[in-house]
Amino acid sequence: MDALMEKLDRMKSWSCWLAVMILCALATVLGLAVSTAGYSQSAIVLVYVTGVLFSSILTRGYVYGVASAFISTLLFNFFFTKPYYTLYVSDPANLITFVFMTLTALTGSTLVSMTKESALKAARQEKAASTLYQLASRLNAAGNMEEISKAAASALEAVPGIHASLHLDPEQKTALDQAEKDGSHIYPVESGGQLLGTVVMDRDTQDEIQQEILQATLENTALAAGRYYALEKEMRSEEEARTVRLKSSLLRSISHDLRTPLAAIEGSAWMLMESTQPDSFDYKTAHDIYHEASWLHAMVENILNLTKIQEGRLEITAEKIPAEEILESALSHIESLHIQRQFRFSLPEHILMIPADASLLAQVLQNLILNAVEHTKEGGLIEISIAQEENQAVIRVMNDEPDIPPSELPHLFEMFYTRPHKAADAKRGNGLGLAICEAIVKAHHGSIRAYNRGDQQGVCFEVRLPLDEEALKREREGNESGSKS
Amino acid sequence: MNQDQSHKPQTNQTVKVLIIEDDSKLAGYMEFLLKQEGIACAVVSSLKEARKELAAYPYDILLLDLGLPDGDGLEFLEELRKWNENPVIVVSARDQDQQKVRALDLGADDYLTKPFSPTELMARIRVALRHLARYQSGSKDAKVKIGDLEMDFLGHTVHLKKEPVHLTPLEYRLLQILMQHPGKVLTTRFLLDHLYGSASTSDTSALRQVMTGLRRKIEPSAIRPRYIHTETGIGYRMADE
Repeated sequence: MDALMEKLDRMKSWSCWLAVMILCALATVLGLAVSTAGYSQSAIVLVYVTGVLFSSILTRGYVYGVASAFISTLLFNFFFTKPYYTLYVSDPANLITFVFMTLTALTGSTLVSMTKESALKAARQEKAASTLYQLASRLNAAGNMEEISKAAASALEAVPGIHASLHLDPEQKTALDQAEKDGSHIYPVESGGQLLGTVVMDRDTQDEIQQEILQATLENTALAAGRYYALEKEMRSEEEARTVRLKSSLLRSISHDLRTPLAAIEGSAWMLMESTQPDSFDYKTAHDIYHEASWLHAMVENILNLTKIQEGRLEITAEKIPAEEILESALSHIESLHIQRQFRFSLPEHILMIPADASLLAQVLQNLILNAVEHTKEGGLIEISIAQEENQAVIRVMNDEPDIPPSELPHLFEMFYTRPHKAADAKRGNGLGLAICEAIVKAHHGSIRAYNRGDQQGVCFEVRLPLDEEALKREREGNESGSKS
Repeated sequence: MNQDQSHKPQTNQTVKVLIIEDDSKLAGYMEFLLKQEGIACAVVSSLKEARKELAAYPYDILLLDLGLPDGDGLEFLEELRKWNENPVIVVSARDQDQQKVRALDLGADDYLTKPFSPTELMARIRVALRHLARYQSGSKDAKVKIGDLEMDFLGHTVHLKKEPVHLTPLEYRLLQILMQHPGKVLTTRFLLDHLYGSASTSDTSALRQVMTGLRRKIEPSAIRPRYIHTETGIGYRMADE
């Protein structure tokens, strides 16, 4: 059945006309035989009607059946009604025969055609469904992009009369431009608003079912490709995470082993300094050892902290800490360094309670200030502000030095990324301070960024931390009762 | 820095420090630093030896490592506090605040985190010496003066640079607790318990609110406090001079 339908579907119009002619001729020959045998005219009419029905069966569309019905009536008139071999009708009774014969033939052929059309449509829908089913199962089984595009391509091949090619490469811009110039039709393969590839076809399709297949193919391919890309991304990020873990565990174990001997070197050097005259060569040597060892030591501690935070092993005990306490804690270490900079502080009027781990947040602020010191000339101005902006605590550390090139800004928080510094008196940076800041801020569900101030010369480091609603409410109440007393 | 000059001669003969530390390098380092400052000291490397030493000689200040091989330093501290009130400075390699807080709650006066700088050690020792001097003189005055801040426990008044300071009842009580423990690190737990008594909660933000209010009234600068210092992640410490 399917095969026949297929064949009919592809039949050219001239062969249909030929079939109509042959069937009409056959009916006429049979009619002549019946008439010679001496049977009545009604038998001949039935022969013609049968011929018309066969014409409808063997051809596609209504045209051939209808044409066959009229031709048969004319032939009947010509051969079998008086006067014979003319189209002239002498007996009005024959006219009734013609009308009803034509009507019967027309009705019959239309019914046949309709049945056939719907059978054909059903077959094509079934084919479309099976194509799509195959596509879906092949896409499901596909493990890489190549298999996905193969599956999609074979589904597109099932769309007859159209030459389509699939390009699953979002970068293929030039090929697309070329295709557009050639007058081809391009359909995008999109998933989640992202262009994954394109289908280029030599002509557009008008057929509803073909359109359906095409659409479904596009959608399914996009889904599969999107899924594949997501999976690939996940795998890549997992790989990256593993590398980071490996790196940090390596760093940690090295740092851990370095910590104790470094403390001992530091201590011994200090003891040497204590037991020598400050202007002697021995003292200076011991001083250098002490200085370098303590720098290394600080770095090792930083690495240990950073790896702890990055691996999420650091306990964060978030309490609501007043802004000034955080600033005080951050400054307590910095004050002891005798830094030749001007500081300007700005704190909110009301008591701003920031939910955070006090030690860690103080370290963030301390690192930001030390970083600013490192990149600010002696005597330069460093501004530190803590403010509340809506439901966020915003900490800013700013200096008045020339801008950082925008291309460098995103790299500032990377581990071991250092910029040449300005200050002769500052300890040289180890490229960890800002990385630690970022890790701590992230652990607090906050955000950190660096930008050039814009309104004036200078660079600003900004930390934003969420203040939860409940905390805010309690704070306001607390302040009210505080101001009353 | 001027104060340590004045302390040196007076502590030279009388004060003796016991260092309880199993890391011989670190113990030697501490011993060296103390002797540089003219402070006599002895070193033991286990709790067992420490108990023996303490029974034999009345040491004035204890430097106690919390990670000793023969026992829990915290338990030793608890046991010690039953009969000995001399200053104890705990030395902890674990840079976790929890450990320090527990030691302080058990009666330690101060803490040092390994590794520490000579300056840090000496600052702690100096505070302990002053505490010791106060303790030995047995001063339980009705009036306490620290810097320009004066508190009269009987008259319920507080003066800063001779000017009266108006505090809320909670602020007053908090300041009183702090003034009674100059130089000592007070944990937030300790302050909460003493501030609210039996109604004490674990909500430290309430304490911090009161603290911030109090500081705004007595401190010349909120971020560079003269009297009440924040011990980040631990608690607060009242200046002792």
